[in-house]
Amino acid sequence: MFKKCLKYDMRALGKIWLIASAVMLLLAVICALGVSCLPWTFTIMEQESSNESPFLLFLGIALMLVGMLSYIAIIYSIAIFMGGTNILLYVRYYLHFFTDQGYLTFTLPVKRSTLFWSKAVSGMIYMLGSAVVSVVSALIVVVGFLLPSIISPQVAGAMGMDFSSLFAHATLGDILCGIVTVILFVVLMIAIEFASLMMQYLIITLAATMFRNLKFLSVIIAYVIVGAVFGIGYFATYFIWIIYLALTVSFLGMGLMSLFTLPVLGWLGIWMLMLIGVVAALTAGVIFANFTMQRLERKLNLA
Amino acid sequence: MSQPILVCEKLNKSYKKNVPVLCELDFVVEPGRIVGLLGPNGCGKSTLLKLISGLLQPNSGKILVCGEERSEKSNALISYLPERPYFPASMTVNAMMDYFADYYDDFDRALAQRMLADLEIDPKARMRTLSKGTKEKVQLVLVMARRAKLYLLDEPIGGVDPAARDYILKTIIGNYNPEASVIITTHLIADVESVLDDFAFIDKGKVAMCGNADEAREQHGTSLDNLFREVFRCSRNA
Repeated sequence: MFKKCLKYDMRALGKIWLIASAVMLLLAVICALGVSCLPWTFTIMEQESSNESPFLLFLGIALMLVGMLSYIAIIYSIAIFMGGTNILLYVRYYLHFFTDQGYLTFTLPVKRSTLFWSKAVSGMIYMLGSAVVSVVSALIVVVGFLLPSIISPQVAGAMGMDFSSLFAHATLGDILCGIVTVILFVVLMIAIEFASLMMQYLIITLAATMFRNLKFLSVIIAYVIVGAVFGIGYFATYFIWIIYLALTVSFLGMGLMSLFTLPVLGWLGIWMLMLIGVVAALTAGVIFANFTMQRLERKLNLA
Repeated sequence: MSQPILVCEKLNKSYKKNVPVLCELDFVVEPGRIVGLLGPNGCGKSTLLKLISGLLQPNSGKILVCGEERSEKSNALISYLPERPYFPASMTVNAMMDYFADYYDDFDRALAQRMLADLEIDPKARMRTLSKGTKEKVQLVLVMARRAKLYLLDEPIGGVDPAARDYILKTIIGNYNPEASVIITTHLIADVESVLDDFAFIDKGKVAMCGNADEAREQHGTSLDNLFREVFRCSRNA
């Protein structure tokens, strides 16, 4: 029965999500073309300062504007795409369980826990799918930004980019440790996404089963209460590790890993912290899921 | 004697504190019976069907379907038709048939297709493009195309035209398994009276009167429709 539920849950969002992903990737390509204008502005500005040509000045400003707008567009597009996927998941969960469609869902010969886990697994697949599409989109834009420097030594020179020195000073050990850290970071993000999805499902379930006539308001109240308990740790963990990963990758790239490995924790300490984060997020997710299933079993009243 | 299809014992349900909808309600349905659950608005008919189908949780009391307590197993035995459209608007009639065929082993697709053809409903149509009455017909067709043990039909003819009512009532009588039972709630007593084996008048959350429909008509010398009017007129005047 779980497979059947999962099939219908995946189908419920499949078409709209695939279209949104295709649009997202297309936008990334367009934005990459726009962002690729940015490196040229350095060369053009260099020429403009020696020639004092108004045309070159205009061209430089225009290219910079196109590049900056493309950069802003891709940032907002990724945020809207990720946020939109999440909102679609929450709306679908609410519609399938707590509106008239619930008459169909809850009269199926399927355990309520199976119905719930099918929503959880399909939700995770869509969230991770969105994350992959977003990362690919960001990479397309990064490639768009770096391409002019790679194909034109003149542009690379104007930007002060020297790819030959990248990773030059990093040892094999540093690179391996960096790879392990990135893998652990991805696992941590998945665990946090799971906990976050379970928290949202719990909030919707609490609101829909506690207050019959004030569902929208009660969603907000439930969000504030549950979010306050979980949110602080969630956001702190999320952003600390994003900053940490950015630092790790950049230090690794600049060959400054020896500076980074010296601090108090060391690699093992940092990995332990990440593993604790994974366990904590998974535990929180499972607790939220159990609360939700209990509410669905005992308190569901579709009037 | 065979096991009852449905047993409700001392069932209590209230949505708000101190405002009971069902109050110590006892109700038994034997196999092979078509039972009319009749009563004025707000008497608890739909609430009772939702409790039986597991959409509501009783405050207290017991519900047994074919001797089993409410669970996903009893969902497989019950075919429930709510009083309002509940199929996803984006799905086609064909997709809904696939859905029923996937989840219910007892779903008879050929029968559903035949009934849809009789009612001139396009199986390729999306639910959102159908009128309210046609949506109700589609729902009834799919619910009745199951070989369930217990059919719970909440106002099955309320939203459809009189010509379709006759077809629907014929469908109800003609398609259900003789071992199975049907519970119908409706205000249109005169329309359904001819198909009922048994009846139960519900008032203020309790069974006010119940029994065999033919015997009641004979005993009181009047139709169930008139008997309903008499009972509830008295009840309102009391």
